Amino acid sequence: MPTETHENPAPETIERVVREGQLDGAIVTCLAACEVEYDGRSGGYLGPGDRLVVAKPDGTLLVHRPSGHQPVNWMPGGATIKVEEDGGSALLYARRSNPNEYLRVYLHEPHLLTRFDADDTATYQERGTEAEMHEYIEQNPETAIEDGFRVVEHERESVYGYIDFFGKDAEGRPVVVEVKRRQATLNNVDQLKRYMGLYRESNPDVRGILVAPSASDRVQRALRDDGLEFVELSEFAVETRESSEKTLSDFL
Amino acid sequence: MFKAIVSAETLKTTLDSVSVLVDECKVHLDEDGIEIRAVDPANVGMVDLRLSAEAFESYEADGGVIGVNLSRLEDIAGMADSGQLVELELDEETRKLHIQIDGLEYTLALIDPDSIRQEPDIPDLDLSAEVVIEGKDINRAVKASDMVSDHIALGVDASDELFYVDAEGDTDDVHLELTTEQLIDLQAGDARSLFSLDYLKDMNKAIPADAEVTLELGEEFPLKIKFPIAEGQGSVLFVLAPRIQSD
Repeated sequence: MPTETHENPAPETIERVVREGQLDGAIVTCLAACEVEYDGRSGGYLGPGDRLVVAKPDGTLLVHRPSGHQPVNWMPGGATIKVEEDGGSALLYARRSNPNEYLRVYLHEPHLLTRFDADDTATYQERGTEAEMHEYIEQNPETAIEDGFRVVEHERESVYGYIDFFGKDAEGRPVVVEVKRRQATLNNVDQLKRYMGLYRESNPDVRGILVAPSASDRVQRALRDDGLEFVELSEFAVETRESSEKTLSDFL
Repeated sequence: MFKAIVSAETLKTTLDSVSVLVDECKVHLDEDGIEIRAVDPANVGMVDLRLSAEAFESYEADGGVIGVNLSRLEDIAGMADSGQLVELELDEETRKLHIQIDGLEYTLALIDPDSIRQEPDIPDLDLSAEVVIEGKDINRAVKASDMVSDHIALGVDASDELFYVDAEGDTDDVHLELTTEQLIDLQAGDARSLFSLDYLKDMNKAIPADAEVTLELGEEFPLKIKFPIAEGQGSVLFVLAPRIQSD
Protein backbone atom coordinates (compact mmCIF):
# COMPACT_ATOMS: atom_id res chain seq x y z
CA MET A 1 0.00 0.00 0.00
CA PRO A 2 1.84 3.13 -1.11
CA THR A 3 -0.65 5.46 0.58
CA GLU A 4 -2.38 5.77 3.92
CA THR A 5 -5.04 8.38 4.68
CA HIS A 6 -6.82 9.55 7.80
CA GLU A 7 -9.76 11.90 7.89
CA ASN A 8 -9.88 14.25 10.89
CA PRO A 9 -6.86 12.55 12.46
CA ALA A 10 -6.26 12.65 16.21
CA PRO A 11 -2.98 14.17 17.49
CA GLU A 12 -1.61 10.68 18.26
CA THR A 13 -2.30 9.57 14.69
CA ILE A 14 -0.50 12.62 13.28
CA GLU A 15 2.43 11.99 15.61
CA ARG A 16 2.67 8.33 14.52
CA VAL A 17 2.24 8.96 10.77
CA VAL A 18 4.79 11.80 10.70
CA ARG A 19 7.31 9.82 12.79
CA GLU A 20 6.93 6.70 10.63
CA GLY A 21 7.00 8.72 7.42
CA GLN A 22 10.27 10.39 8.42
CA LEU A 23 11.76 6.98 9.31
CA ASP A 24 10.50 5.09 6.26
CA GLY A 25 11.14 7.82 3.70
CA ALA A 26 7.52 8.70 2.93
CA ILE A 27 5.95 12.10 2.20
CA VAL A 28 3.31 13.14 4.71
CA THR A 29 0.81 15.86 3.89
CA CYS A 30 -1.85 17.42 6.02
CA LEU A 31 -4.75 19.65 4.95
CA ALA A 32 -5.56 21.68 7.99
CA ALA A 33 -6.65 24.92 9.57
CA CYS A 34 -3.41 25.92 11.23
CA GLU A 35 -1.29 28.66 12.73
CA VAL A 36 2.40 29.05 11.94
CA GLU A 37 5.30 30.43 13.96
CA TYR A 38 8.88 30.87 12.82
CA ASP A 39 11.86 31.62 15.04
CA GLY A 40 15.40 31.86 13.82
CA ARG A 41 17.28 34.39 11.76
CA SER A 42 14.11 36.46 12.05
CA GLY A 43 10.75 35.82 13.58
CA GLY A 44 7.34 35.43 12.05
CA TYR A 45 3.76 34.55 12.79
CA LEU A 46 0.93 33.57 10.46
CA GLY A 47 -2.55 33.57 11.99
CA PRO A 48 -5.14 30.82 11.57
CA GLY A 49 -6.11 29.75 8.04
CA ASP A 50 -6.59 26.72 5.78
CA ARG A 51 -3.31 25.40 4.43
CA LEU A 52 -1.50 22.46 2.95
CA VAL A 53 1.40 21.23 5.06
CA VAL A 54 4.00 18.92 3.51
CA ALA A 55 6.66 17.01 5.46
CA LYS A 56 9.23 15.39 3.19
CA PRO A 57 11.48 12.56 4.39
CA ASP A 58 14.62 14.65 3.83
CA GLY A 59 13.46 16.98 6.58
CA THR A 60 11.86 19.60 4.33
CA LEU A 61 8.72 21.18 5.79
CA LEU A 62 6.47 23.34 3.62
CA VAL A 63 3.35 25.33 4.42
CA HIS A 64 1.33 26.26 1.36
CA ARG A 65 -1.54 28.74 1.31
CA PRO A 66 -4.43 28.34 -1.14
CA SER A 67 -2.65 30.45 -3.78
CA GLY A 68 0.86 31.22 -4.93
CA HIS A 69 3.55 28.88 -6.11
CA GLN A 70 5.87 29.37 -3.17
CA PRO A 71 5.24 28.11 0.34
CA VAL A 72 4.46 30.87 2.83
CA ASN A 73 6.80 29.24 5.35
CA TRP A 74 9.30 26.48 4.92
CA MET A 75 12.27 24.70 6.40
CA PRO A 76 14.80 23.35 3.96
CA GLY A 77 15.97 19.73 3.95
CA GLY A 78 18.03 18.56 6.91
CA ALA A 79 15.63 19.71 9.60
CA THR A 80 14.29 17.41 12.29
CA ILE A 81 10.51 17.09 11.95
CA LYS A 82 8.47 16.02 14.95
CA VAL A 83 4.94 16.18 16.35
CA GLU A 84 3.98 16.93 19.92
CA GLU A 85 0.64 17.34 21.58
CA ASP A 86 -0.10 20.93 22.50
CA GLY A 87 -3.27 21.65 24.45
CA GLY A 88 -5.30 18.88 22.81
CA SER A 89 -4.16 19.49 19.26
CA ALA A 90 -1.08 18.49 17.29
CA LEU A 91 1.95 20.74 16.99
CA LEU A 92 4.08 19.81 13.98
CA TYR A 93 7.52 21.38 14.10
CA ALA A 94 10.80 21.39 12.26
CA ARG A 95 14.05 22.37 13.89
CA ARG A 96 17.46 23.07 12.45
CA SER A 97 20.53 23.69 14.55
CA ASN A 98 22.77 25.68 12.20
CA PRO A 99 21.45 28.32 12.08
CA ASN A 100 19.21 27.57 15.02
CA GLU A 101 15.65 27.89 13.74
CA TYR A 102 12.20 26.55 14.44
CA LEU A 103 9.09 26.31 12.31
CA ARG A 104 6.01 25.44 14.36
CA VAL A 105 2.71 24.54 12.76
CA TYR A 106 -0.21 24.34 15.16
CA LEU A 107 -2.66 21.97 13.47
CA HIS A 108 -5.89 23.19 15.06
CA GLU A 109 -8.24 21.40 12.69
CA PRO A 110 -6.53 18.69 10.68
CA HIS A 111 -8.97 17.58 7.96
CA LEU A 112 -6.94 15.05 6.05
CA LEU A 113 -3.61 13.38 6.70
CA THR A 114 -1.89 11.29 4.04
CA ARG A 115 1.25 9.26 3.86
CA PHE A 116 2.64 8.55 0.42
CA ASP A 117 5.52 6.11 -0.07
CA ALA A 118 6.64 7.93 -3.16
CA ASP A 119 9.12 6.34 -5.52
CA ASP A 120 10.70 8.82 -7.93
CA THR A 121 14.07 8.12 -9.46
CA ALA A 122 13.78 10.15 -12.66
CA THR A 123 15.99 13.18 -13.20
CA TYR A 124 14.66 16.30 -14.84
CA GLN A 125 16.09 16.98 -18.26
CA GLU A 126 15.70 20.38 -19.74
CA ARG A 127 15.73 20.58 -23.49
CA GLY A 128 16.98 23.27 -25.80
CA THR A 129 18.85 25.42 -23.33
CA GLU A 130 21.20 28.11 -24.50
CA ALA A 131 24.01 26.24 -22.71
CA GLU A 132 23.34 23.23 -24.96
CA MET A 133 23.61 25.43 -28.03
CA HIS A 134 26.90 26.86 -26.79
CA GLU A 135 28.27 23.39 -26.21
CA TYR A 136 27.22 22.31 -29.67
CA ILE A 137 28.88 25.32 -31.33
CA GLU A 138 32.04 24.91 -29.30
CA GLN A 139 32.36 21.26 -30.27
CA ASN A 140 31.24 21.58 -33.89
CA PRO A 141 32.19 25.11 -34.95
CA GLU A 142 32.32 24.28 -38.65
CA THR A 143 29.00 22.42 -38.85
CA ALA A 144 27.25 24.91 -36.64
CA ILE A 145 28.56 28.20 -38.09
CA GLU A 146 30.43 27.67 -41.38
CA ASP A 147 33.42 25.90 -42.91
CA GLY A 148 36.70 27.22 -41.64
CA PHE A 149 35.21 28.91 -38.57
CA ARG A 150 37.12 28.43 -35.35
CA VAL A 151 36.40 29.64 -31.86
CA VAL A 152 38.99 31.97 -30.36
CA GLU A 153 37.17 32.69 -27.15
CA HIS A 154 33.92 31.50 -25.61
CA GLU A 155 32.14 34.17 -23.57
CA ARG A 156 34.54 37.05 -24.09
CA GLU A 157 33.97 39.89 -21.68
CA SER A 158 33.21 43.30 -23.17
CA VAL A 159 31.96 46.62 -21.87
CA TYR A 160 28.45 45.64 -23.05
CA GLY A 161 28.49 42.19 -21.44
CA TYR A 162 29.67 38.78 -22.49
CA ILE A 163 30.06 38.08 -26.19
CA ASP A 164 28.94 34.47 -26.72
CA PHE A 165 31.71 33.54 -29.16
CA PHE A 166 34.59 35.46 -30.63
CA GLY A 167 36.16 33.57 -33.54
CA LYS A 168 37.97 33.72 -36.85
CA ASP A 169 36.65 32.68 -40.25
CA ALA A 170 38.54 30.78 -42.99
CA GLU A 171 40.11 34.05 -44.20
CA GLY A 172 41.23 34.97 -40.72
CA ARG A 173 38.64 37.72 -40.28
CA PRO A 174 37.32 38.22 -36.73
CA VAL A 175 33.74 37.01 -36.18
CA VAL A 176 31.41 38.01 -33.36
CA VAL A 177 28.74 35.38 -32.68
CA GLU A 178 25.63 35.97 -30.59
CA VAL A 179 23.55 32.89 -29.70
CA LYS A 180 19.81 32.92 -28.89
CA ARG A 181 17.77 29.90 -27.95
CA ARG A 182 14.46 31.30 -29.18
CA GLN A 183 13.39 32.98 -32.37
CA ALA A 184 15.72 35.94 -32.95
CA THR A 185 14.28 39.39 -32.23
CA LEU A 186 15.17 42.92 -33.24
CA ASN A 187 16.54 43.43 -29.74
CA ASN A 188 19.01 40.62 -30.41
CA VAL A 189 20.08 42.42 -33.59
CA ASP A 190 20.69 45.59 -31.58
CA GLN A 191 22.74 43.65 -29.07
CA LEU A 192 24.92 42.21 -31.83
CA LYS A 193 25.28 45.69 -33.34
CA ARG A 194 26.58 47.01 -30.03
CA TYR A 195 29.20 44.27 -29.89
CA MET A 196 30.18 44.97 -33.50
CA GLY A 197 30.76 48.61 -32.63
CA LEU A 198 33.53 47.49 -30.29
CA TYR A 199 35.46 45.82 -33.09
CA ARG A 200 34.53 47.71 -36.25
CA GLU A 201 36.71 50.66 -35.33
CA SER A 202 39.90 48.65 -35.15
CA ASN A 203 38.97 46.21 -37.89
CA PRO A 204 36.31 47.18 -40.44
CA ASP A 205 36.29 43.60 -41.79
CA VAL A 206 34.83 42.13 -38.62
CA ARG A 207 31.76 39.95 -39.24
CA GLY A 208 28.74 39.56 -37.00
CA ILE A 209 26.61 36.43 -36.90
CA LEU A 210 23.37 35.92 -35.01
CA VAL A 211 22.65 32.26 -34.28
CA ALA A 212 19.10 31.18 -33.38
CA PRO A 213 16.63 28.40 -34.12
CA SER A 214 14.75 30.80 -36.39
CA ALA A 215 14.30 34.46 -37.31
CA SER A 216 11.38 36.35 -38.82
CA ASP A 217 11.74 38.12 -42.18
CA ARG A 218 11.83 41.42 -40.37
CA VAL A 219 14.80 40.35 -38.26
CA GLN A 220 16.62 38.87 -41.26
CA ARG A 221 16.09 42.13 -43.15
CA ALA A 222 17.42 44.16 -40.21
CA LEU A 223 20.52 41.96 -40.10
CA ARG A 224 21.10 42.35 -43.84
CA ASP A 225 20.70 46.13 -43.64
CA ASP A 226 23.44 46.28 -41.04
CA GLY A 227 25.74 43.93 -42.92
CA LEU A 228 25.23 41.15 -40.36
CA GLU A 229 24.53 37.47 -40.96
CA PHE A 230 22.10 34.91 -39.64
CA VAL A 231 22.80 31.24 -38.98
CA GLU A 232 19.83 29.01 -38.32
CA LEU A 233 20.26 26.18 -35.85
CA SER A 234 16.83 24.68 -36.38
CA GLU A 235 17.64 21.52 -34.42
CA PHE A 236 17.31 23.69 -31.32
CA ALA A 237 13.80 24.86 -32.14
CA VAL A 238 11.77 24.48 -28.97
CA GLU A 239 8.96 21.96 -29.04
CA THR A 240 5.50 23.39 -28.53
CA ARG A 241 4.62 23.06 -24.92
CA GLU A 242 1.20 21.68 -24.03
CA SER A 243 0.36 24.20 -21.38
CA SER A 244 -2.53 26.48 -20.79
CA GLU A 245 -0.45 29.35 -19.41
CA LYS A 246 1.90 30.89 -21.91
CA THR A 247 4.55 33.37 -20.92
CA LEU A 248 5.85 36.30 -22.91
CA SER A 249 9.16 34.52 -23.46
CA ASP A 250 7.26 32.02 -25.60
CA PHE A 251 6.79 34.84 -28.11
CA LEU A 252 10.22 36.42 -28.14
CA MET B 1 21.85 64.42 -13.08
CA PHE B 2 18.07 64.44 -12.79
CA LYS B 3 15.82 67.29 -11.76
CA ALA B 4 12.18 67.59 -12.71
CA ILE B 5 8.87 69.12 -11.77
CA VAL B 6 5.72 67.25 -12.66
CA SER B 7 2.03 67.49 -11.86
CA ALA B 8 0.78 65.06 -9.23
CA GLU B 9 -1.74 63.60 -11.72
CA THR B 10 0.89 62.79 -14.30
CA LEU B 11 3.15 61.24 -11.69
CA LYS B 12 0.33 59.13 -10.26
CA THR B 13 -0.86 57.95 -13.69
CA THR B 14 2.69 56.96 -14.58
CA LEU B 15 3.27 55.03 -11.39
CA ASP B 16 -0.13 53.32 -11.50
CA SER B 17 0.49 52.00 -15.02
CA VAL B 18 3.60 50.18 -13.84
CA SER B 19 2.62 49.20 -10.31
CA VAL B 20 -0.27 47.07 -11.58
CA LEU B 21 2.42 44.61 -12.70
CA VAL B 22 5.49 45.03 -10.49
CA ASP B 23 6.52 46.34 -7.07
CA GLU B 24 9.82 47.79 -8.15
CA CYS B 25 11.25 48.92 -11.45
CA LYS B 26 14.12 50.60 -13.21
CA VAL B 27 13.50 54.11 -14.47
CA HIS B 28 15.63 55.38 -17.33
CA LEU B 29 16.22 59.10 -17.03
CA ASP B 30 17.01 60.04 -20.60
CA GLU B 31 17.57 63.50 -22.00
CA ASP B 32 14.21 63.54 -23.77
CA GLY B 33 12.12 61.89 -21.09
CA ILE B 34 11.75 58.81 -18.94
CA GLU B 35 11.21 55.19 -19.90
CA ILE B 36 10.15 52.28 -17.74
CA ARG B 37 10.01 48.72 -18.94
CA ALA B 38 9.06 45.89 -16.62
CA VAL B 39 7.58 42.41 -16.61
CA ASP B 40 5.65 40.69 -13.83
CA PRO B 41 7.35 37.84 -11.96
CA ALA B 42 5.39 35.16 -13.87
CA ASN B 43 6.51 36.69 -17.17
CA VAL B 44 2.90 36.98 -18.36
CA GLY B 45 2.35 40.73 -18.48
CA MET B 46 4.75 43.51 -19.34
CA VAL B 47 4.66 47.27 -19.56
CA ASP B 48 6.67 49.74 -21.60
CA LEU B 49 6.02 53.31 -20.55
CA ARG B 50 7.42 56.50 -22.00
CA LEU B 51 6.87 59.97 -20.69
CA SER B 52 8.47 62.70 -22.74
CA ALA B 53 10.16 65.74 -21.21
CA GLU B 54 7.19 67.84 -22.45
CA ALA B 55 4.93 66.05 -19.98
CA PHE B 56 6.90 67.72 -17.17
CA GLU B 57 6.70 71.35 -16.05
CA SER B 58 10.48 71.28 -16.20
CA TYR B 59 12.84 68.46 -16.93
CA GLU B 60 16.59 68.02 -16.90
CA ALA B 61 18.36 64.68 -17.15
CA ASP B 62 21.49 63.36 -18.77
CA GLY B 63 20.88 59.64 -18.90
CA GLY B 64 21.16 57.18 -16.08
CA VAL B 65 19.02 54.57 -14.40
CA ILE B 66 17.49 54.49 -10.96
CA GLY B 67 15.71 51.67 -9.16
CA VAL B 68 12.44 52.61 -7.51
CA ASN B 69 10.12 51.01 -4.99
CA LEU B 70 6.80 51.86 -6.64
CA SER B 71 4.43 51.55 -3.71
CA ARG B 72 6.68 53.82 -1.64
CA LEU B 73 6.75 56.43 -4.38
CA GLU B 74 2.99 56.06 -4.94
CA ASP B 75 2.39 56.70 -1.25
CA ILE B 76 4.42 59.89 -1.46
CA ALA B 77 2.69 61.00 -4.66
CA GLY B 78 -0.59 60.35 -2.86
CA MET B 79 0.32 63.13 -0.43
CA ALA B 80 -0.13 65.67 -3.23
CA ASP B 81 -3.55 67.11 -4.02
CA SER B 82 -4.59 67.19 -7.62
CA GLY B 83 -3.19 70.27 -9.26
CA GLN B 84 -0.17 70.33 -6.98
CA LEU B 85 3.32 70.02 -8.35
CA VAL B 86 5.89 67.46 -7.31
CA GLU B 87 9.58 68.30 -7.46
CA LEU B 88 12.00 65.44 -7.96
CA GLU B 89 15.76 65.66 -7.66
CA LEU B 90 18.30 62.88 -7.69
CA ASP B 91 21.22 63.09 -5.28
CA GLU B 92 23.90 61.21 -7.18
CA GLU B 93 26.16 60.83 -4.19
CA THR B 94 23.73 59.35 -1.72
CA ARG B 95 21.65 57.67 -4.46
CA LYS B 96 18.50 59.11 -2.96
CA LEU B 97 15.59 60.87 -4.58
CA HIS B 98 14.54 64.14 -2.98
CA ILE B 99 10.84 64.80 -3.40
CA GLN B 100 9.14 68.08 -2.53
CA ILE B 101 5.43 68.72 -2.43
CA ASP B 102 4.39 72.15 -1.26
CA GLY B 103 6.98 72.40 1.51
CA LEU B 104 6.84 68.69 2.37
CA GLU B 105 10.23 67.11 1.84
CA TYR B 106 10.66 63.40 1.44
CA THR B 107 13.93 61.60 0.84
CA LEU B 108 13.40 58.28 -0.87
CA ALA B 109 16.11 55.62 -0.71
CA LEU B 110 16.57 54.11 -4.15
CA ILE B 111 17.12 50.46 -5.00
CA ASP B 112 20.26 49.26 -6.75
CA PRO B 113 19.05 48.83 -10.37
CA ASP B 114 21.17 45.68 -10.71
CA SER B 115 19.08 44.03 -8.03
CA ILE B 116 15.84 44.56 -9.98
CA ARG B 117 14.57 41.92 -12.39
CA GLN B 118 15.97 42.37 -15.87
CA GLU B 119 13.93 44.43 -18.27
CA PRO B 120 12.08 42.29 -20.77
CA ASP B 121 12.47 42.25 -24.53
CA ILE B 122 9.29 43.39 -26.24
CA PRO B 123 8.02 40.46 -28.32
CA ASP B 124 8.25 41.26 -32.00
CA LEU B 125 4.79 40.18 -33.16
CA ASP B 126 2.87 40.37 -36.40
CA LEU B 127 -0.67 40.66 -35.11
CA SER B 128 -3.53 40.24 -37.55
CA ALA B 129 -6.10 42.65 -36.12
CA GLU B 130 -6.10 46.13 -34.66
CA VAL B 131 -8.98 47.63 -32.73
CA VAL B 132 -9.21 51.22 -31.53
CA ILE B 133 -11.70 51.46 -28.71
CA GLU B 134 -12.67 53.80 -25.87
CA GLY B 135 -11.22 52.98 -22.47
CA LYS B 136 -14.68 52.82 -20.93
CA ASP B 137 -15.73 50.03 -23.31
CA ILE B 138 -12.80 47.91 -22.18
CA ASN B 139 -13.75 48.59 -18.59
CA ARG B 140 -17.32 47.49 -19.32
CA ALA B 141 -16.19 44.26 -20.97
CA VAL B 142 -13.73 43.40 -18.23
CA LYS B 143 -16.18 44.19 -15.44
CA ALA B 144 -18.98 42.06 -16.92
CA SER B 145 -16.65 39.15 -17.72
CA ASP B 146 -15.27 39.21 -14.21
CA MET B 147 -18.75 38.45 -12.87
CA VAL B 148 -18.81 35.05 -14.54
CA SER B 149 -15.29 33.85 -15.24
CA ASP B 150 -11.59 34.17 -14.54
CA HIS B 151 -10.60 34.34 -18.16
CA ILE B 152 -11.76 36.23 -21.19
CA ALA B 153 -11.57 35.68 -24.94
CA LEU B 154 -10.96 38.70 -27.15
CA GLY B 155 -11.47 38.31 -30.86
CA VAL B 156 -12.11 39.96 -34.18
CA ASP B 157 -14.46 38.52 -36.77
CA ALA B 158 -12.99 39.67 -40.07
CA SER B 159 -16.00 38.86 -42.26
CA ASP B 160 -18.58 40.54 -40.00
CA GLU B 161 -16.12 43.33 -39.16
CA LEU B 162 -16.63 43.26 -35.43
CA PHE B 163 -14.69 43.01 -32.20
CA TYR B 164 -16.06 40.63 -29.60
CA VAL B 165 -15.52 39.60 -26.00
CA ASP B 166 -16.50 36.20 -24.63
CA ALA B 167 -16.41 35.03 -21.05
CA GLU B 168 -17.67 31.59 -20.18
CA GLY B 169 -18.32 30.75 -16.57
CA ASP B 170 -19.48 27.52 -14.99
CA THR B 171 -23.09 28.61 -15.20
CA ASP B 172 -23.28 32.05 -16.77
CA ASP B 173 -21.79 33.55 -19.91
CA VAL B 174 -21.02 37.05 -21.09
CA HIS B 175 -20.81 38.09 -24.71
CA LEU B 176 -20.19 41.57 -26.08
CA GLU B 177 -19.93 42.64 -29.69
CA LEU B 178 -18.79 46.03 -30.95
CA THR B 179 -19.24 46.88 -34.60
CA THR B 180 -17.24 49.40 -36.62
CA GLU B 181 -19.83 52.07 -35.71
CA GLN B 182 -19.21 51.55 -32.01
CA LEU B 183 -15.44 51.36 -32.39
CA ILE B 184 -13.13 54.23 -33.20
CA ASP B 185 -11.33 52.10 -35.75
CA LEU B 186 -10.99 48.48 -36.79
CA GLN B 187 -8.43 46.82 -39.01
CA ALA B 188 -10.04 43.47 -39.30
CA GLY B 189 -8.19 40.18 -39.51
CA ASP B 190 -9.34 36.96 -37.88
CA ALA B 191 -8.09 36.87 -34.33
CA ARG B 192 -9.04 35.23 -31.09
CA SER B 193 -7.02 34.66 -27.93
CA LEU B 194 -7.83 33.80 -24.34
CA PHE B 195 -6.45 35.88 -21.46
CA SER B 196 -6.34 35.76 -17.71
CA LEU B 197 -8.80 38.25 -16.27
CA ASP B 198 -6.59 38.82 -13.24
CA TYR B 199 -4.02 40.50 -15.43
CA LEU B 200 -6.51 42.27 -17.65
CA LYS B 201 -8.32 43.65 -14.61
CA ASP B 202 -5.09 45.10 -13.30
CA MET B 203 -4.14 46.59 -16.66
CA ASN B 204 -7.66 47.97 -17.03
CA LYS B 205 -7.17 49.93 -13.78
CA ALA B 206 -4.46 51.94 -15.52
CA ILE B 207 -6.53 52.72 -18.63
CA PRO B 208 -8.31 56.09 -18.46
CA ALA B 209 -12.03 55.84 -19.35
CA ASP B 210 -11.76 58.52 -22.02
CA ALA B 211 -8.56 57.22 -23.61
CA GLU B 212 -8.38 56.00 -27.18
CA VAL B 213 -6.98 52.55 -26.69
CA THR B 214 -5.39 50.52 -29.46
CA LEU B 215 -5.64 46.75 -29.10
CA GLU B 216 -3.59 44.45 -31.30
CA LEU B 217 -4.71 40.84 -31.44
CA GLY B 218 -3.81 37.57 -33.10
CA GLU B 219 -4.73 33.90 -33.00
CA GLU B 220 -3.50 32.57 -29.65
CA PHE B 221 -0.98 35.38 -29.53
CA PRO B 222 -0.16 38.03 -26.94
CA LEU B 223 -2.39 41.08 -26.72
CA LYS B 224 -0.93 44.54 -27.08
CA ILE B 225 -2.74 47.40 -25.38
CA LYS B 226 -1.54 50.92 -26.20
CA PHE B 227 -2.86 54.19 -24.90
CA PRO B 228 -1.65 57.73 -24.40
CA ILE B 229 -1.15 59.32 -20.99
CA ALA B 230 -0.35 62.86 -19.84
CA GLU B 231 -2.36 64.51 -22.61
CA GLY B 232 -0.53 62.61 -25.29
CA GLN B 233 2.94 63.47 -23.95
CA GLY B 234 3.40 59.90 -22.83
CA SER B 235 2.36 56.42 -23.84
CA VAL B 236 1.81 53.08 -22.20
CA LEU B 237 2.12 49.71 -23.90
CA PHE B 238 0.98 46.58 -22.10
CA VAL B 239 1.71 43.16 -23.54
CA LEU B 240 -0.17 40.19 -22.12
CA ALA B 241 0.62 36.54 -22.88
CA PRO B 242 -2.39 34.40 -23.81
CA ARG B 243 -3.70 31.28 -22.21
CA ILE B 244 -3.90 28.49 -24.69
CA GLN B 245 -7.28 26.83 -24.85
CA SER B 246 -7.09 23.16 -23.93
CA ASP B 247 -9.35 20.87 -25.89
